[in-house]
Amino acid sequence: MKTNNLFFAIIFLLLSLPIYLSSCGKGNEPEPTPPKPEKPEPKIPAWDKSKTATIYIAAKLQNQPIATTENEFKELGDYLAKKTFHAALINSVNINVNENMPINGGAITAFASRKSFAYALHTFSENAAKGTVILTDSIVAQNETVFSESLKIKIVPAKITSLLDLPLATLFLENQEQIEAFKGKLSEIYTAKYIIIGFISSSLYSSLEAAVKNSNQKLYLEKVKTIDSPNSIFILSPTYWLLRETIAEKTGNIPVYCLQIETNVFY
Amino acid sequence: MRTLYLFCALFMVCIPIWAQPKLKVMTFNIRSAEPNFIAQPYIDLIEKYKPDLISFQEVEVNTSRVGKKDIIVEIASKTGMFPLFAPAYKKDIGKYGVAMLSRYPITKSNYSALPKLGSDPRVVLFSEIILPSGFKTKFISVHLDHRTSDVTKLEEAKALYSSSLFTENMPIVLAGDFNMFYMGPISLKLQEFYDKICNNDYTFEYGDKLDYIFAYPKGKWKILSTSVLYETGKLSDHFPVFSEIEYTP
Repeated sequence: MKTNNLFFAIIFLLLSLPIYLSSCGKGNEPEPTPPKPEKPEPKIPAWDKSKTATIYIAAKLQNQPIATTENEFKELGDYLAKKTFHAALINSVNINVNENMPINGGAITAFASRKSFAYALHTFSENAAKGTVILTDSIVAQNETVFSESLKIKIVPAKITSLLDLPLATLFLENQEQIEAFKGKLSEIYTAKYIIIGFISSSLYSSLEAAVKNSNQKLYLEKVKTIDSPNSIFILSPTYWLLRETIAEKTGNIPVYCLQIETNVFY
Repeated sequence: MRTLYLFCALFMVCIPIWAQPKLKVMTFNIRSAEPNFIAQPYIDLIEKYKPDLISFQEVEVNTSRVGKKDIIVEIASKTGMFPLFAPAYKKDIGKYGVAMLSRYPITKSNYSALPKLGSDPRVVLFSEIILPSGFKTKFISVHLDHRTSDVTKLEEAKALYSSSLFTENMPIVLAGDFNMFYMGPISLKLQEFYDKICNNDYTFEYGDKLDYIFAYPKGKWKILSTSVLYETGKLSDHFPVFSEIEYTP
């Protein structure tokens, strides 16, 4: 009888050993957590080129004029004349209005590219105007809003198609004081639904990013991929605009960026 | 010390004098640049008189007659000025309307159609100009119809004395071809708001005075010189009006 009991005890121990061992193993492992519901990646709709604005930007992004001679501007205009676009921006075009018959890079480029132009004035002192030229098919209207003593935004409405607006605006942020002034205008910018193609001192971009993030406005901010340089290009708009593609090109010694920006992208 | 005070006092007196903005203004109806557009005579005119602001009327851009190009942008590209064009209607493969050139940057602009009461659609072009001193002025370029009666022309010209123009109390320079008699009702109506800053010499080849320059507010603009430039001869059937003016705040 004793032998039988011992036999059953050994069998019981042997059978329970795997359970014991497995329970020990489990005890060392973390408790399995129920799978978290993953935040689905936003499903970005396929690119619809029929509602995409093509915008060329000629910019050296250095703190120097983009060109100084009539020939350089004419070559840039000839280059743009071969392209199809809804708007083009030429950054750092300086004009000395005091000179007799000064070189006006905006007018030279506009004539060569068969476009109309507006001039976004960034600074104007001692007769030296510094600004950005905006080329479109026709200038129906242009507006300038003064954000602070040193910060102005230029608005030049254009069209993508007869039904699709391109409420283009531009400005240049080059110091912290301007960032502060700009910060206070973000809700106004959101309400106006501008698509800003702006220029900024590269060292200030993180401040702009923080300002936009903390603004509680549904704004889309994107830094355009360019060469490393003291200044950068950014896009700031309502979230239904999306930068689809940036192609870097060059004419002479002037870098040119072709941006494809789609509107009405909801995701 | 007394010398220093005297110097400071003199400096304070002189600042407003230096700050008084002077402008050279021209208006020219170029008759569609008939028969064929050549930019050089216009460039020479600008080089000679160095106007700060020019109003052009009867401007064709991109039509066959002007070589399918924007002649205002072309003149701007050769003279360093800032151009603007406002189309009144489509013509041929281009457009017809009024234009302007400014030596100084244009900060704002828009245009609007005038009530069509005569033979052709007409348009008025509005802009805002900034000088290096920070002085801002509106500049308006207009072409009123030539076939309307004085009564209908008053209606057509309403946009030139609309209260919305004067809300910011910003100085205004208004120039163009008004197709009006200088003692007629339109001229008198405009002079309720503006000073006429040109003389009454004829500006049309048949001896009429049709082209004018006005300035707002009344009593604030001083005429330094004014003349009609007959030297342009057969370039158009109109002659340019040219005035040098000074704003006294």
